[in-house]
Amino acid sequence: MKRMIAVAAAVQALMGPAYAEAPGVSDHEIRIGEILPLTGPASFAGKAHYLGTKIALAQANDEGGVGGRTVVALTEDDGYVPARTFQSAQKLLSVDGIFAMTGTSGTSHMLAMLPLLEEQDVLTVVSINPAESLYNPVRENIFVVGTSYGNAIHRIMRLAVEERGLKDGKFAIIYQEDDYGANVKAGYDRAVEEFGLNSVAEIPYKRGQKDFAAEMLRVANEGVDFLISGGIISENVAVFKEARKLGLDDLGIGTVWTAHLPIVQKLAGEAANGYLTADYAATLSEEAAQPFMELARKYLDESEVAEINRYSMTSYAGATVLVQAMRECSDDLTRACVKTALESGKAFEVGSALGAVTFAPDRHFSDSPVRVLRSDPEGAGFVPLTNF
Amino acid sequence: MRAGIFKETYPELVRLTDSMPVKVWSILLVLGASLLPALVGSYALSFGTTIVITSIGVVGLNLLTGTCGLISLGHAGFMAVGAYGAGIMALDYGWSAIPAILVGGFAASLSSLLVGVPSLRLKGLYLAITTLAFTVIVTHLILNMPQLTRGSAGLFMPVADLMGIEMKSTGAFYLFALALAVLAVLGVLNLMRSRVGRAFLAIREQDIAAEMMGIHLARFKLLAFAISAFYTGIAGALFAYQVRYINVDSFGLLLSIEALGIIIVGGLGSVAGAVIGTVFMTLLPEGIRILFDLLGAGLQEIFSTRALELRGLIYGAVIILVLRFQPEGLIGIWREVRRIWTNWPFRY
Repeated sequence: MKRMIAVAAAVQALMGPAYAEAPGVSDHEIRIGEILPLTGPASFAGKAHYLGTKIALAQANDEGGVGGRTVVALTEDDGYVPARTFQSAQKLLSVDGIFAMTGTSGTSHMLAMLPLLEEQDVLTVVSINPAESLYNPVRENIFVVGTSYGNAIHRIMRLAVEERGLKDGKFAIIYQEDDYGANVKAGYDRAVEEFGLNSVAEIPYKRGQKDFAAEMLRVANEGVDFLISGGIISENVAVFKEARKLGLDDLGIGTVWTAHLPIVQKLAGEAANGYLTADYAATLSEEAAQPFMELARKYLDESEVAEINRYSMTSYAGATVLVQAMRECSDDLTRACVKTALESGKAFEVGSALGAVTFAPDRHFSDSPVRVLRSDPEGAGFVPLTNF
Repeated sequence: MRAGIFKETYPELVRLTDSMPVKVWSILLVLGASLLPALVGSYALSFGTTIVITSIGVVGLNLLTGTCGLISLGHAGFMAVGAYGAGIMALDYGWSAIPAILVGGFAASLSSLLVGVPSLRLKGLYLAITTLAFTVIVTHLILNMPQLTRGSAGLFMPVADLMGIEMKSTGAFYLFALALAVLAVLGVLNLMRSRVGRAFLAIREQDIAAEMMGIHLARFKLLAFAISAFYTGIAGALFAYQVRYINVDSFGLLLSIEALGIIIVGGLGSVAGAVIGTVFMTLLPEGIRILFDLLGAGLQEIFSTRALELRGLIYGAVIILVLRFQPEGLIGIWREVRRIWTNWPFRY
């Protein structure tokens, strides 16, 4: 396999001179970059992602790094502001000279630096925010680990139809008016069409909205059986609480993996009981995540361990995939070789907390299997209802 | 050395400057700024570009808020209108950068009339809230007019071009933005010494008295909004060409508050203050980052992700300290230095 990759990389290097250089690589070090929301409203994800990469690189370096070189992550905070993401990308590319990127902030933030990354052929493994616009159509140097928000919503609605018998029920969605909400809504629309469902209310809301009394009153008046809540953190919490306040005990609520966080259960209190979420990462407390937790305890201090969540596992997976691909090319570490290694179809093992990751030349999206979980704050935390 | 300023005729009073040193230093400053691409790397230059683009918008806001006394929290909206105006013309109609940027400026200017009309009856915080609502409306319209704006997906901008030649390098685009910033600053300085600029000042000091003197409040307030929004629209269009991707996330409400912060820290009502404030507020986070880097990687290890929160705290503390000890803003320091230089060895 190594020889094949080396030959393919050599051919590609001859055809594309842009790949001939390997910035960020020295005899003793490989620099990779991360731009994350370490402050601001999305810092719960940014910090956790940072820690996941820290674990992955500490483990990789303990195992000898990449061909004896230490892998170092240079992390910049964008505060979840696209203009700062762009500025940080300029720094990582022109001052620090990174080889690859693994931390890419939110969707619009990633898109803000995308022209730079594409022009400079920077290998990028996206694991924090698997937005469809990053892999469809395939972008030369961008590889996305995870599944789409739409797939997660579709999986939840399939469960509602097949296992909860809601084929003839009334469905509704409350979604954010932005790219994230559009992805969630796309999954909802796909499920409605595929299963022939009755969608009685499709309610958009503006980002930053905190009160969902009017929206939930409409859901109650329409007699909705199953609601897709397309919020992120506080919006979902508000929807759960409002449903409880209105006495909608029979209303099924589903949302994406942003609700697969203990903080959501804590904020929602009693209202957190029973909502559905879908994720491609394991729950921190379950058996499959324990090897990862052991690594976390080995490489992080106590306060850092307290900050890890599912985003730590996904970033660990992204960084591990990149390290493994780089190891395939340790004798000839160029972006072209690593890209070829990523596209080789090999199943990259990223621990038991996430399924193996595979890419192909025409598919730079791992489309990781997703499963549905039920929130059980007083018991196990999250109870898996389906398998990956 | 000057001991005072004596103006004997009206033309003398309205001259841009009668001081040769000011002219020489201004030319040297522009020349120095033009040499930046030859002296620094693309990262430092990206700060330079951000500073000149932000200066254009902030000079526009300063004209409205600092000079005319009308508070606006809607400038993020004007910036969005400018960015999308230019983006749509460049992408859908293939217009080159200069006409597309001008369309962005005029579109923002036109949209400002919507906010300008309430300003005839509202003042202070009431006006601020009204203008804030404008940004919300603009965001809503962008998201709900996908045929025109591509909705939440946003716009990928082409590389800016000048007479058919693409400005691919950071240096070329920086020089282009710098030229527009110089024109913008000269434009405002000229406006300030005209009847219009003086009318703005009179409205700021006491609008009823200004009206008694024959200043048509409705016309001049709307004009202040239109000119200010034009500048901000141009800044928005340049921002779109700089980042090359825009969507509603790029024009959050915080942007307007940051712009107000810049003119307050720089010195309300002063064009030089607006530019100094822009330089200071843009470079302050980077300065703090460099300070942290100098203190060593150990600090990052100790604080882990909390190091950034510490940086944020320092950023806020520096701004508070500047305003506490220099309430006139940074331009006050410059005025004080100039006064001491002129009067030395006397105090007054």
